[in-house]
Amino acid sequence: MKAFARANPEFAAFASWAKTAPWTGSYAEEPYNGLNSFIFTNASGAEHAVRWSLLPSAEPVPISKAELDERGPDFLEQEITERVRTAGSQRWTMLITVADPGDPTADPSKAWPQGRRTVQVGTLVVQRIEPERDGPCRDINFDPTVLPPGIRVSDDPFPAARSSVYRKSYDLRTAEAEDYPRNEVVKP
Amino acid sequence: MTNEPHRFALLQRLLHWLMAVGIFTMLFIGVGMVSTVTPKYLPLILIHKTLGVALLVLVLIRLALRLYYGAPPLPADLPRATKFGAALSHQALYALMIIMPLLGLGMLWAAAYPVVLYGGIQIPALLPLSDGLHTLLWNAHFYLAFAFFALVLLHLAAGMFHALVRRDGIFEKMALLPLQETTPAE
Ligand code: HEM
Ligand code: HEM
Repeated sequence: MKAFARANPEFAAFASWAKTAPWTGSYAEEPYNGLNSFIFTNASGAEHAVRWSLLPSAEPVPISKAELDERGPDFLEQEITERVRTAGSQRWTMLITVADPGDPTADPSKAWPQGRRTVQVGTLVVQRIEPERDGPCRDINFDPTVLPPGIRVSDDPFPAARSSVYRKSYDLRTAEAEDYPRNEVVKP
Repeated sequence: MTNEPHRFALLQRLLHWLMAVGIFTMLFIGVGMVSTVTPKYLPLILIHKTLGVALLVLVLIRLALRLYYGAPPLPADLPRATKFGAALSHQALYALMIIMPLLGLGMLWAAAYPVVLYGGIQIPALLPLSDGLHTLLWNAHFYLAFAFFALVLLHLAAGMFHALVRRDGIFEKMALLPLQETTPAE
């Protein structure tokens, strides 16, 4: 890990961010910021480089590092399952941030300056949590270059690299599906 | 059978050479794209899928033409074993030209990838999501690609042998333009 951090100096920015960010006890209270930029084409055909974020509707309740350390290893997963089951659907607002000319769209390790135009484009609604092990998502490759019409990759080289590597990993993983640890409960 | 043509029909010859270029391209792009993580990966795999499906359409046309026009006869002095080998290898080439694209498509379908070709053409999935099926088709696409390459090289060597060593007119049957006056003695 040290050798990796030394070889990749961009990593330091993430490491220091990870130490200082406010913590919460739930996936539902967290914002998610995409690092990769994509080109969105609007109805009149104009193209813009954007990054997207998903902002939580649930009120974040900050908790301390000490409190976090006391919880079990899978508590976030258990918490979100429990929360959706008892409190119902969880929502995030999808926001895109539009790059100004000259913003570093090709480098996901660099933040864009504050004050860029943002557009609210949708809402993510989580209605049900499926377990990974035997769930319907396990055998799907979430390839970041599989995009709907109107969205395409930008000069950011990472989605292509992720696509290539995820394909390989998908090939290898599905080839060993028989040895995958399944849920003990037999599916009805 | 003296009235049989001594060359393949022009359309057959055109398709043979067009597809030969296409298949070499497919083999090299295939191996190239799976060994890169650079942005080239995306256009390469897009070309691989689009050209692969185009070749599938072309081979079906080609087979129809083959049934319609037939093939010019081989020289009478060719040993029987050689004729048999030629027929067998040609059948294997046709089979691979059909099977390879189907395996490529099937592998993507079985992994629930949307198959989107150049120009946004989308091909609906004909197979269900299945990890076992994906693995089977993926392995078949991989191993048969190398078998295909080996067979094409053998075929090329045989073609060169006929063109340069035996000079028996077999190459001229498929040549786009008549070469020099090397027509076999009648
Ligand atoms: C003449 C037809 C074709 C030939 C000769 C061919 C050849 C190849 C070769 C040589 C590879 C690289 C294998 C490796 O080194 O791992 C490959 C991979 C691949 N081919 Fe094809 N291919 C053909 C048609 C298609 C079609 C029609 C599709 C899909 C529409 C397709 C999809 C793929 C995919 C997705 C891979 C990557 C497999 C992976 O590693 O996940 N191929 N192909
Ligand atoms: C991907 C590459 C190629 C494929 C898939 C391919 C496939 C075929 C097939 C299936 C036939 C049989 C035609 C029939 O009887 O209907 C054929 C014939 C022929 N090919 Fe190719 N070919 C390829 C490349 C080449 C190359 C590079 C040469 C150059 C030497 C060549 C020379 C010939 C000749 C001379 C014939 C006529 C043989 C005969 O009349 O029996 N081919 N090819």
